Amino acid sequence: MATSHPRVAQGVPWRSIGKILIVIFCVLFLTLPLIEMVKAMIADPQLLVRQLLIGLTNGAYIALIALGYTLVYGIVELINFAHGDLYMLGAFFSLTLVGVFSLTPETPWLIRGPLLVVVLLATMAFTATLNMLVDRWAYRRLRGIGSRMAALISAIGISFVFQNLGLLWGYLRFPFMNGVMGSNAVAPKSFPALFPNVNLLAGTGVRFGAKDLIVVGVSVVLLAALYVFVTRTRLGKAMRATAQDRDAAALMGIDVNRTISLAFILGGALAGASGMLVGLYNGTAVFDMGFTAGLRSFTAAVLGGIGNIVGAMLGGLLIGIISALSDQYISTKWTNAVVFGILVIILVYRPTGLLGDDTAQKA
Amino acid sequence: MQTRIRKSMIGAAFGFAIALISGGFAGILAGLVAGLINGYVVPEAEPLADKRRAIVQGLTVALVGSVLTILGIVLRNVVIDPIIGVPLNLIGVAIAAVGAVLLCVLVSVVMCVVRTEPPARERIGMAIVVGIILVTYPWLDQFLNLRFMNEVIPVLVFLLMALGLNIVVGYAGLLDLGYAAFFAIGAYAAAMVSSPHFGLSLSFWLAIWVAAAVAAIFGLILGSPTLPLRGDYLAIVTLGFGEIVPIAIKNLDNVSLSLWNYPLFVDVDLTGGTKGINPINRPWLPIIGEFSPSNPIPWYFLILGIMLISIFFISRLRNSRLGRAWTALREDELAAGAMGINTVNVKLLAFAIGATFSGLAGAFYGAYISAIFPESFRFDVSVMLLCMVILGGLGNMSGVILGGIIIQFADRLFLPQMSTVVQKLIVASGNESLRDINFASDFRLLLFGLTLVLMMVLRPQGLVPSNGSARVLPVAAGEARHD
Amino acid sequence: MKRLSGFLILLMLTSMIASCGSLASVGSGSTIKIVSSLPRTGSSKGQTDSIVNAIKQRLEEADYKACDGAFTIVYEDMDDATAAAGKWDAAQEASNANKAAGDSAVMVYIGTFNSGAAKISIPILNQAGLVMISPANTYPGLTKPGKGEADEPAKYYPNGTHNYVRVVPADDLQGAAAARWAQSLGAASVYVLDDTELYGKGVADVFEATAKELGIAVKARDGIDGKAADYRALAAKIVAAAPDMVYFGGITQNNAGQLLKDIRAEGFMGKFMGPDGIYETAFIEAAGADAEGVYATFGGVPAEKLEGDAATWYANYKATYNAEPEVYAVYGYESANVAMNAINSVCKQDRAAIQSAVMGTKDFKGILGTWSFDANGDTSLTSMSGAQVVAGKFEFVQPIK
Repeated sequence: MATSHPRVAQGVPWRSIGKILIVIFCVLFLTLPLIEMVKAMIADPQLLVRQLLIGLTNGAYIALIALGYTLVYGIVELINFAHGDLYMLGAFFSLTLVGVFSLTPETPWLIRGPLLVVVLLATMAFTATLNMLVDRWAYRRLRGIGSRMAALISAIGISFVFQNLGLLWGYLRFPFMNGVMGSNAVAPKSFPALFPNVNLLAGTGVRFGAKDLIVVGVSVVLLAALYVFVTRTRLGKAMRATAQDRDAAALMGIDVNRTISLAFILGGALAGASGMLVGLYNGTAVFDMGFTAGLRSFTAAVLGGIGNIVGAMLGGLLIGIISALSDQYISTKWTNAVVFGILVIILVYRPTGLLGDDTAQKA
Repeated sequence: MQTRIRKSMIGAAFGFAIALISGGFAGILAGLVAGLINGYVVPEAEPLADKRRAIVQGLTVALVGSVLTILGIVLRNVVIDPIIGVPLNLIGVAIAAVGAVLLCVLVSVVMCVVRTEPPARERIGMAIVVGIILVTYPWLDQFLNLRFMNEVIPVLVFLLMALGLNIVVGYAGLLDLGYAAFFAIGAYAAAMVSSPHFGLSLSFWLAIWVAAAVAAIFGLILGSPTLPLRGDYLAIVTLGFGEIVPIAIKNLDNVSLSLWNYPLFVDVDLTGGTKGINPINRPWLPIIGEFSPSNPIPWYFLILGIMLISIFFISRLRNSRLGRAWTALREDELAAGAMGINTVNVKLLAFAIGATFSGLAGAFYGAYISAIFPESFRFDVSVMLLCMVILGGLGNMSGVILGGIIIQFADRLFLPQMSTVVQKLIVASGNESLRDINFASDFRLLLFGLTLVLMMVLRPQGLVPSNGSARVLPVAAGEARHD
Repeated sequence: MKRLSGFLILLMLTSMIASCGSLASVGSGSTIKIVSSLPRTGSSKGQTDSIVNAIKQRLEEADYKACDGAFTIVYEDMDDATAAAGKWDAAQEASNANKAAGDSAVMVYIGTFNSGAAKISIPILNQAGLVMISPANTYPGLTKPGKGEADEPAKYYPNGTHNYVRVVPADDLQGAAAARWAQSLGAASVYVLDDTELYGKGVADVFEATAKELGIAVKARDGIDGKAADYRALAAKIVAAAPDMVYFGGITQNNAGQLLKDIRAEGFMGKFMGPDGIYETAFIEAAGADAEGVYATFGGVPAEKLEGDAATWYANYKATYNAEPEVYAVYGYESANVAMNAINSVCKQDRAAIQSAVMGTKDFKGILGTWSFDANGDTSLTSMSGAQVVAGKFEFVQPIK
């Protein structure tokens, strides 16, 4: 038995038959719609460019959130379900600060700019602290005791807790918040339009707003900073070492718990940053927005190869662009299905994501 | 002795909580639950062979259980109820307390004694005790005026699905985040054939088999692309299917398909779209007639029957050649393959068989509600099922059932009732500033989340860890260190 | 073993019988229960808070007494959502309906919020002979023959008699009215969106059909995911299609505010119209400055324009709950009003009598005006109003024919 080749054991090659059937199906039913789609793209190239730019901007912030997943996953192999909701809390925190500083679209840039940076840093500090505390209370005790599943459920629980905190946050109506939470606790909250929306490409027939540039710019800076931190600094090395082999890292004198904490702090800070950026960019925040955002971002992280920083960026970008194109050329109501469908196809041909290696499988 | 008292606090805590939150005659049920849990947990921790000592053991744990349960009954019915405006009924309280103590003592003593029997008889004995409780429960519920039956049935549906998911996640070790998709597929398959939607109004008894078969086929189809994947990549693909299926169901209400330029069919309403499908035929039996929505008892026994049959099949599967292959696959796919296990078939069978139970659950659910909607099958169903499986103890059926009962009852019964009580207390306190906050709906997610986190932090292995995996797994060393 | 189990059963039976004897004190004859079943957890909470407040307001006005103090009214606010789902749950709604049906003190069932939930509970309550008053269901097929699927609404009423009424006009009126209004506002082309839920899709379907009849060009029809982070790509598509108006069939909680913000940020200058699902302060707060100029349709007359009793109600509500009533609050109040009226006229713990009293409500002077229920259980108040956001508030524009 043991000597027989695995291929022999499979008998009827169901999988090859399945693949052939899929190809035949695609040729018969999807060729014409695809041709139509390409025709539509060629017919209005400016619209195509606009959609690609939208995909780029959306991809930038999806990548930012995805990095939080990837950092934590890379080091403790935990799908941090609460990450999306942390991002939501980041948005709420920054909105509160915007209210406290009473920032409006009329505030002169000389004051608005520095204050926005303060809001960004404060939000990052807030979510980073929160993430660290959650790690200490809810995940640390579950590490290294058999199943990773316990921590997964704990993370799902924390995600519910965060969501509820976001809901309760909507009740906060202190006078110094200047009414940013509105009158209805659960309704979506509106951010003032603090980022300018002037078209930078005016006259070309394509839109690319200043706020798109801000989002892409800040995202790229943060991503680059993180990349340098992880690959070049001592602490970053410690993180990579811990990710590869926790016991060996501990033997080398690395404080494993502190290093893992650091991953949670960094991931939390990124969630906060994206919460603020996306809040100001999209303009609304609602207590249950974390779930969808988290799902998209986690998908991006997996698509790129989970645990891989560059992969997360690539995955985010890809998902941003696929959704934009699907919204335009297929139909918005099918977009989620298209995104996940493409994810499935990519993973079937590249089982560890686009840039992933086998580390994720060592569990 | 100390372990005995410490362990019996588990059941006692449940008794206390149920009596405190539910009020009325639920105290009697609380006593029963306390006795049942203690009778199960304590002899497990402290096995005895001597009948007389077992009776003492039973009495001790029952004492702890009933003291706390009575405390709960008194606190609720004597202290809280008058505050929130329910008239004090001392005779009722006395009856509840006496009933609770009697049931608690009886059940825990019987269970402790049964536990001293040799394994084969022990199993039969336990089955009889649990069986009696399950069979008499509907009437207990009715006579005590508890009205929990309408919650019990959906809970059992979820339990059935959790058992199916346990095959995929617990036995074969394939993390499935999209299991609700099969629930949806089963429910829709049954609904399409047993409703006027397509003019086919098959009987429920046929539709349920159609649902199981269709779910199994989809288990194969959706399982096949995941074959080369491992670990969390598999999880995300299943999650993807879990997202795609409800979207497809929602949007397939005017399907047109054309082969090149020849339209095959135009604007076919396949799934009913957002409107869903209803009414779905209810089961019909000779003496009972058509099951009515107002009488939960036939439904209860139907789902209980489906569950028992499923449990029987799953436990047989577990110990079969296939079950052992699943275990091998879970522990080490490479080694399993090297030992001649056809990993492809074994994995596909796990998906297909797991999906079958979900399909059964879906068919029952559709018939019970008599309507289905795409919103009922979203990601949170998958997550909830996964929580049930993991919380109870991965790969262990009684653990999964226990975990499922706790999570489902917490969500459907316990937290709402607790919130109502707290809300009434707030209103009674007359505190104006607190009145605006609606406790019932504002803190529910928080409490639910905290329940999950606390359960995991306190019992990371799950409530009833799988003995099999503890014996086999190399990580068992870590587990031992923890305890 | 056998002896043991026999003893166990015996004991259970005795305890049951013992407890049965004392149950009489629980449901005394002088209590009438009114229950409501609404999604109290998750995204619809804002709207349902408002409804529950209004119901309580009506009952407090009567001091929880009916028939000159002969009956005490007990109100129970049931939740048909689960925490796990975050929205209404079919099994939970069935459970609520069954619970109400099984409790002999319950005389009126106020609910549901979602039309999908009503599809489940109407048949259950129908068989229990319990009357159901909905403050918010707008799906036409629940009551009107020929407006929904072929076998609607008969399939919801297995015992043949109607036990369901709604105090709110159905979608078929609103969608059509909206299309006519859009035409009179000068929209020659529309882009129709919905939130892929029963209510939103239903009203958008009617809007689309009526618009086509009226000769308005429907540029495209699409559904959005109410939980998506943004709709920029869709917005770019809309701008490229250049319609005169975007019609969104859906509710605020399904991201109507975000949708509007993105459409405006993309440079769309045309009109934006929605149904009463966005006719609420929450929508204006969510959309911020972009809400300016948005059109919305709704049944009846706006709360602050109400006169007489209704104006008093509006003032009282604001005083009691320190908040603007949301769009369905007035219907919540009117539901409780109809229920109390029926109870007061029957003065018996008799479901059948109360049901026929509610169904037979004629020329009722409520806060919505003077109105009746027709044989299907629909309100005779079919007037539709149009409103527009001016300076951060919905201002009544005109009644729509």
